[in-house]
Amino acid sequence: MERISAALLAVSPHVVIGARGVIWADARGLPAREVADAVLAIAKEQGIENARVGIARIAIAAETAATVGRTPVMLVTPGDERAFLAPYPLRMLAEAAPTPPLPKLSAALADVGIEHCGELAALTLEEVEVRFGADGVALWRLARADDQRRVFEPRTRALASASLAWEEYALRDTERLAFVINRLAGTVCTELGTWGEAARAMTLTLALTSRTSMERQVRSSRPTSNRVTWVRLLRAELERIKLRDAVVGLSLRVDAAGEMESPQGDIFDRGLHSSRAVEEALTRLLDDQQATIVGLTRTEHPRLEDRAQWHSRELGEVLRGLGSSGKGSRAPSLSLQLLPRARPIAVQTAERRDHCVPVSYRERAQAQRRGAPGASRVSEVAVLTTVGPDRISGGAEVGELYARDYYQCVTADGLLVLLYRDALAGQWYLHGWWD
Amino acid sequence: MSADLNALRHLLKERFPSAAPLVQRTVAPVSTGLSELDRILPGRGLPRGKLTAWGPLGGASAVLRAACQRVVVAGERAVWVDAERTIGAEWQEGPLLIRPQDPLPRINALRAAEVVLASGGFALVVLSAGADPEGTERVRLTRAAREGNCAFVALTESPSLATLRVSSRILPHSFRWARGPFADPAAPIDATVEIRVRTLGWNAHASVVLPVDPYELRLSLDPSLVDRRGGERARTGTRRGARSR
Repeated sequence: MERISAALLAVSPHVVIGARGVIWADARGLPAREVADAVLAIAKEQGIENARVGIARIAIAAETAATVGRTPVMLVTPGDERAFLAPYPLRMLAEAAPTPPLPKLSAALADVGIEHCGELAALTLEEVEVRFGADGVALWRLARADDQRRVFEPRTRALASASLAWEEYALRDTERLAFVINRLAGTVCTELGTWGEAARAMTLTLALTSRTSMERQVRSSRPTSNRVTWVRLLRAELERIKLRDAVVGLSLRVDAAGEMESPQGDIFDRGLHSSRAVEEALTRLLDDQQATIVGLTRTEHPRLEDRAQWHSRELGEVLRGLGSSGKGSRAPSLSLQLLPRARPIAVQTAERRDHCVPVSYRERAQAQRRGAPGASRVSEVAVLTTVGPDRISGGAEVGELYARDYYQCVTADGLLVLLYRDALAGQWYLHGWWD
Repeated sequence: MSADLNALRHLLKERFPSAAPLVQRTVAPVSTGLSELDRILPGRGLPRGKLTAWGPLGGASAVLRAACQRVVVAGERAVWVDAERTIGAEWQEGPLLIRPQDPLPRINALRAAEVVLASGGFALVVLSAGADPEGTERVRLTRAAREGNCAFVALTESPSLATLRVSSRILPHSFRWARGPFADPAAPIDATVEIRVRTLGWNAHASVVLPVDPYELRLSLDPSLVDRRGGERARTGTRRGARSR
C-alpha cells in the first residue's frame, strides 16, 4: 500500500491510505479522468490488476463508485450523487460509512422494509430521528450523499525562510554580514509579497565556526514585507550582537506572518496618497525606539504635573486616526507649559497684606539652558505683576505630603510664568509658563 | 542689460523653482488659520519645503499649536516633536505628538523630525525648543523638509539656513486681568502678542490678542496640615529684599 501511494504522488498532490483497501487521491483542480487513468496505470505497474477508480465530489459516492463500479473508472456526475447512491443496498453504505452503524440499526431498518439508500433518503429528518436515533440520522445523511468528512486535511504552508552557508572562509565583519542579510531579507520579503503576507517577527540565526549558533529574534511594530524595513531592523540587531566566533552561515526565517494590512482609505483624506509613506515613517520611528507617539489622558489631580497622563500610542491606533479631521479648529490661546521637573529658583519677595509675593527671581546656574524662560541671562528676572497665592496641599493619603503656594507672574519680558513655593521645604520653583 | 537680467531670473525660476525668494513663489503654503498672521506671511502661509525659524516663547507655541490643528482640520497631517516635554494638559487631539526617548532626547528628537520630514506625508512639522539643530543637523533637516515638501518650523533662536524668520513676544503691559475683591489682578484674561516676519525682501509685523487659558488650580487644603495663611511672616521672617531659597 505504501509503495503504491508513494507512486501515486506523481499524479496527485495528496494521497491518503484509507480503510478496506481504499486509497484516496486528491484530483481537485486537476483533470479527473486523466488522473484516474494515470492511477490505474500506476496500479497496474505495481501488480494490481483489478483496481477500480471512482470519481466524485462526495467521498461516499466516490468510494461506492469504486466499490460497485463495473468499469475500471466510474465517474459520478457532480449533483447526481444522491441519485447514484439510491439503488444500492444500505448494507453497502453501512460498510463504506466512516463510522459503521450498529447491527441493531440495520435490523430496525429491515423491519420496516427499508433496504435501499433511496428509500432511506426519501424520509424526513424528523421521521428518522424519532424512529432510529442519532445512528439512523448519520446513515440517512450518507444516503442523501451528505458526507461532511474531510478526506484530505488542509496542510499548513511553511513560512518563508532563506539561508546561506560558506566553508572556505569565516566572517566577523559586520558590513559583510549585513550584505548577506540584505540578500536573505530580499528573498524572504519577495516570497512574503508573493503570498500577500507580511511578517511580524523574524529570527536571524548565525552559524559559528565553533559549531554553535546564535539566534536573535527581530520584531516589527507593524506586519510588513518591506525589505528596507527588515534590513534596517536586522542590521540594527546585528550591530548589537557580540560574536563569540566567526560566522560561517546565516539563516533567516519568518516566525509570525499575517495578511498584509491594506486599510480602506478615506477619499476625503487629503493625505491619502501619502498614507503609505506616513505608515513607513512612523513604523521606523517606533521600531528604532527613537521616539514615541503619545496620547493624553486628563485627570482631576490637584497637582498640576499629575493632571496630564501621557501614554504611548500603538501604531495601528495612530494610523486609524490619521484620516480623521480632528475635533475642529480652535482659536490659539496661551496655555500652560509645564516643565517635566520644576526648577529651583532664588526669589526676592515683597510683602502684600498678610503674605509675600515674588518681585524678581533668578534661576540657579546649573539650570540655565537654551530656550527656557530667563535662561538667556544670568541676571534677575523682574516681575511686573503677581497673582496669587493659590495654595494647595495634600498627599497624606499616599504618604507624600505636599504644600505649595502658586503665583502667576508677568515678567519684564512679557512672559507669564508659574512659580511656587514649597511650603514644607521653604524652596521656590519655576514650574512652567504660558505660551 | 536689464533684459538679460530678467531672462536670467526667468531661467533660474524655471530651472530651480525652489530657489526663488518666498515672495515670488507660487507653491501653496500651509495656512496657520490665524488671519492676522497669514496676512503678514509671504504667500499667506508657512512655506512648504523650507525651514522657518521661530524664536521660542512669546506666544509661538500657542500660534503653532493652532496651526497644527488647522492643518489637521484641512485634511492634512501635522506633527509636533516635543523635545523638552513641556506640552501640557491643554493639548488637543489631531496632530501627532512625538516625544523623543532617553537617553539622548535631543538627538532622538532630531532623528524623529528628519524621518517625518522626509516621509512626504506631513504638511507641517514643528520642532520644539530644547532640540535646537546645529551645523550639519540643520542642513540635514532642511534637506529632509525639501524632500518631503513639508513646512518645517523650528522653535529656535538661530536663523541659520532658515528661509523665513519669525519672532514673537507678548507685550508685558498688554495683559488684561480679572480683578479680585481688593481690585488686585486675580487672573489673566488675555494678552497682546506682536509677531514679526522677515525674509528676503519682506519685513512685516502684526499684533494679535490671545486669550490666556486658566490653569484651574483646585484648592485642596489638607486637614492634617496647618493652615499657613497669615503665619507666613512669623514663620519665615521674609521681608522685601530678603532672599528665600
